[in-house]
Amino acid sequence: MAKVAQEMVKQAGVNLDDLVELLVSNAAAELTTYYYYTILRVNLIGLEGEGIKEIAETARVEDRNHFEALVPRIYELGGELPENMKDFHDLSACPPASLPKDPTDIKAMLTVLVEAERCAVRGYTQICNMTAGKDHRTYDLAQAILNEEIEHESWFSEFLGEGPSGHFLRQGETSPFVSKFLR
Amino acid sequence: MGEGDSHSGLPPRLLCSYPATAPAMKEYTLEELAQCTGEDGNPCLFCCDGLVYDASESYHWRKGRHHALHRAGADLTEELKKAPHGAQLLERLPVVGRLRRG
Repeated sequence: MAKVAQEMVKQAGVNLDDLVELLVSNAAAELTTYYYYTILRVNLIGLEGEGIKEIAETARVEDRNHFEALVPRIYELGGELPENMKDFHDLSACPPASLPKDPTDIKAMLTVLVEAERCAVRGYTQICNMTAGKDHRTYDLAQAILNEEIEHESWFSEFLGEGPSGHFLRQGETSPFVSKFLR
Repeated sequence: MGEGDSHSGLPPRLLCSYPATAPAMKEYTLEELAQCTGEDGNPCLFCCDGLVYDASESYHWRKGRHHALHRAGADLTEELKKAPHGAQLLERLPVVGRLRRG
């Protein structure tokens, strides 16, 4: 048990129970989003869908990476994952990114994708705000994930016609910010 | 809710109930709002800037809790100022009343 690590966080004024609950619910959001994005990705077909498939795939893989990166910190802080996978799904911080009724409706697909990313951006901003200057390790992790979630949001919002994102699709390996937590 | 309404002795479920097609906005006291925690079958209500919102159907307010940090049944105006999202997200929730001060 990372006893001193937990004590330091508590002494800094962070409510450890609240933080762990947030980390677990965001880990659930990442893994469930990975699952739902798998369904979205395979349905992104045709002239319009194929153009979005690659960024959806990158976001999907990076969300799984986020889950992997969060788990060690949850246990370091004394938390745990629910034994039951269904329980884990149901406590997700974000709603299911379900396939739209008409999967050929690309705007509906993009709306699901961008809403999922926006939920994640809000969630990690909250964790960053909670831990800034107090829990340096969790802050570092949450900030790394936030960087990637913001990029995901910008990719999808650009396709929705919300204006240029200033970003280009991922070059090289996935998770440029989070990869240091995966080694 | 009119001046003559009295809630004393009513179970929380009835205290929190509101007509779906209320002709005028119901007024809640803080005490009445405190019963609407989203638990034990009660509606999940909270107040922001004087308006009472119903989050009973919201995914983000399951069991009357919002992202581990916020609880329904209270005036969350100050808490919302520190939230990672703005008040625009409240537009997704139905307004069911106003908070009565004093």
